[in-house]
Amino acid sequence: MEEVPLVQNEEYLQAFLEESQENVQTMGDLCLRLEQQGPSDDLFAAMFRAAHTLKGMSASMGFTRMATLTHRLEDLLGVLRSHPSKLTAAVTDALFEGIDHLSVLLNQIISTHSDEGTADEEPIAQLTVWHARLTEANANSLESTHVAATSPHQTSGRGVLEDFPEESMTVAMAAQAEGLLVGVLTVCIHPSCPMKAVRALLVLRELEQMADCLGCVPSANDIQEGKYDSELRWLVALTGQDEAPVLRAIENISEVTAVRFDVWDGEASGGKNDTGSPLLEKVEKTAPVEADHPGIPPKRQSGPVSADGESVRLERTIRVPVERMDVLLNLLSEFVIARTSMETLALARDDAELTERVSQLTRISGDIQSGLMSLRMVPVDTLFQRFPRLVRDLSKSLKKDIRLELSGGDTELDRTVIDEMGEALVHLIRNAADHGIESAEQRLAKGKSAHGTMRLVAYSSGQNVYLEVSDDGAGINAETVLAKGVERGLVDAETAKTWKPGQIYGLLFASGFSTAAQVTDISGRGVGLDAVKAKVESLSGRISIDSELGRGTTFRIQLPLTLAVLPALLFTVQKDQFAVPLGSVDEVIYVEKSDLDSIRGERMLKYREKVLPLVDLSFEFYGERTSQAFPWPVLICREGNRAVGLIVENLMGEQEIVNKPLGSYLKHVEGFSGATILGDGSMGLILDLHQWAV
Amino acid sequence: MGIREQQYVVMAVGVERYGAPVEQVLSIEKRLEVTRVPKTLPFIKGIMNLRGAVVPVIDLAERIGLTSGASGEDSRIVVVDVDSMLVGMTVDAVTDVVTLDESMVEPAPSIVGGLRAEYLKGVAKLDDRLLILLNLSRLLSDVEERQLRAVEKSLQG
Repeated sequence: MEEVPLVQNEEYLQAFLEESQENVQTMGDLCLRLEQQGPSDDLFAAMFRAAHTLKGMSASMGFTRMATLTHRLEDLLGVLRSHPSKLTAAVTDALFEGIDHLSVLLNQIISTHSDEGTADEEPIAQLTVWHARLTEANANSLESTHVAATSPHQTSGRGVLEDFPEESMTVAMAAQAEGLLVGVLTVCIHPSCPMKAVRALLVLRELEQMADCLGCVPSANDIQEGKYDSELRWLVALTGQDEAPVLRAIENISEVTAVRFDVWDGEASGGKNDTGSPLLEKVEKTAPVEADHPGIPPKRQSGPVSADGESVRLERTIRVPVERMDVLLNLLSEFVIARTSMETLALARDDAELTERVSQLTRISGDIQSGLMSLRMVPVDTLFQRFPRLVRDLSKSLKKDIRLELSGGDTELDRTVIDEMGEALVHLIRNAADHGIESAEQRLAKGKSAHGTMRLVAYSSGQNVYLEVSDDGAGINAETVLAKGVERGLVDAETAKTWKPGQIYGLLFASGFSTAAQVTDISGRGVGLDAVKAKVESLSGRISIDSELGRGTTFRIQLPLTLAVLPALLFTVQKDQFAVPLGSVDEVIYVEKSDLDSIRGERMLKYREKVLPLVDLSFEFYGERTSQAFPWPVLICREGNRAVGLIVENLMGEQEIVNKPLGSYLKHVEGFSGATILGDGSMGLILDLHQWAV
Repeated sequence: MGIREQQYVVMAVGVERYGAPVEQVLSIEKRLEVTRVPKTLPFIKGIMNLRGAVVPVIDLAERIGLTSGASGEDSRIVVVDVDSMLVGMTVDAVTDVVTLDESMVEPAPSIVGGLRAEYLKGVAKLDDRLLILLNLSRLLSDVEERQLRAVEKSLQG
């Protein structure tokens, strides 16, 4: 049967890209650990596996450049694995470059479906040179265990290692010495199966979950090119107690016609068949084989097999364009609006049955909403995982020893927010590395540890998720910042005296503001923090700074858990309806005249032994002071460590609202984050508290 | 319709008639409830709920420097889609849809009504009356500029 050009096959390509990105990321992470923790066989082995998988997958998809590059990586890793002492900083750099280039190739494949045309000679040459240098002292490359070509021919199964090359014996013995179950797994694939290379790869991937592959017949290269008849044999060391789970998992792969495991029980015997499992014939390719085989415990079913018998692994996740989910979310928004209007109707009619039905709808739509939301939620880890590498590179280029601690990576955030926040966090990390953390000499002089520590923390609280970037560096000198602010005319010297640290740090977010003594490559151009702030605010978030001179600085970003539907408090001002996110309202109080105070002509509110500024929304919105009789309803809203009281007219109660942006035509309008359609079809503007509370 | 022909929706504003290219007109609405938006320019009347979408509404008369007044029985909101941005414009009436040949369109004089020529595509004589053809992209894109000028003015007193 003719090979189908694989790249044409979108489904395979998707799966390939997904897995490869994961593997490249893994390799990057491992390489970083290698650099930090020093060489260890576990790390080499894991990297080697990742490189090997990548090589196999890229070769079978026809991406030859990627295959070559991974092959070189694999070679170099092989040598390093047997000679860990040869790992130097320069070699690590070469590995990093190679891994980086894999990302480049992957990105190119994503955009052009081909890996041609990128200049990759440089990283490949680098790796080759290092490989040659390290093998000069006649190191015995591990590549050899990956089987030199024995011509693929039919084997009887007698003497299980018969066809495997000499070295396999050594490896098998080593594995056996570790107490692993070693043997030969024979897998028969339907001879007319299309895309045999991919099929073999599926088997190999399943196998690698549960076993270490020590060698194969035919050779790895032949298998990758689909050059085999029907029988594939792997020398494996099982990670589990017995072979049953392996056999069952592999049987479930479509086009696998039979699978058998022969235990290899030592150098002398050369293997024997009687301890091996019988050659299981698959009854039907779509029926998962049940536990009626001798010696197979009735457990661990490896999941359902789809109707067309495709591999299970490919179908556990699906990739859905975010836009498609947004369409659903919009529809849900419409639904919530319609539901709310029915609610209003039911209340107005005082119809108990209708009310009951509506509350049922409310429950269901609530479930749909949380389900849909959870689809959009991804762990912050996906954002964090690129930062260890960034910090490492910054460390090197700034010649500072910076350690990164990550925590709360499992905190979930809306996909859109995650995508948008990446650049902002990079800015903050660069800032912290460049301006925050001092050089080792400076640190030692201050009695601190020579290495600086940067912390990246995520946690959720209420309706918000917090991201913090902190360092134990020099901290921000408020006086310098203030002086600069006065100099730039951002604040006058008199007012400046009354400012608290939080307000002063706020100056750092002004456009073009920089206190860095010199502009470095990393940061200090004064662009960045204002962009970070703008980005955070565009996501309805806030950013604040805590800093202690000499001790360090923390940037804290508060982001809403979801962007689409939020509980809100409705109220009116001059008969117009408005909404404010419930999360921003601390309390609603009724204010009598005696609760008012006045400071320098400004109306203030006495509240819990404090005095808060009072904002008359009627005046702010329409220029008319409120004329209503006491008591006034007042919303106490907190914004960071500032609180403010907002005078409103009537409270209309709580409601789930859908935040719809005002659109580009009204983007100049300040003080509102959007509008919502209320149950009766009318509209209400949503207050952006940030702009009223300052 | 020939290649050099273009259809316009004819809108009455005060005593004048303005034309909007038909492919930019999304819909014509009878008066919908408009929710005012605080702290914006006077000609921006607010927002309306157009089948679930938030659409800003401007008073076309005020925008082009005439006295506002679109409140009569025939008044309409013409919703235009300009570069994927939806804006509703209140007008006194929508009277017609006409087809004009390019040869009938003359360049606009430097000022027509309250509008500088840059906001216009040109003018055309139709039944002995002038039809002023609007350049909607331009007309609806300078709102920020105007907001800025308004703020500056208020600062200077």
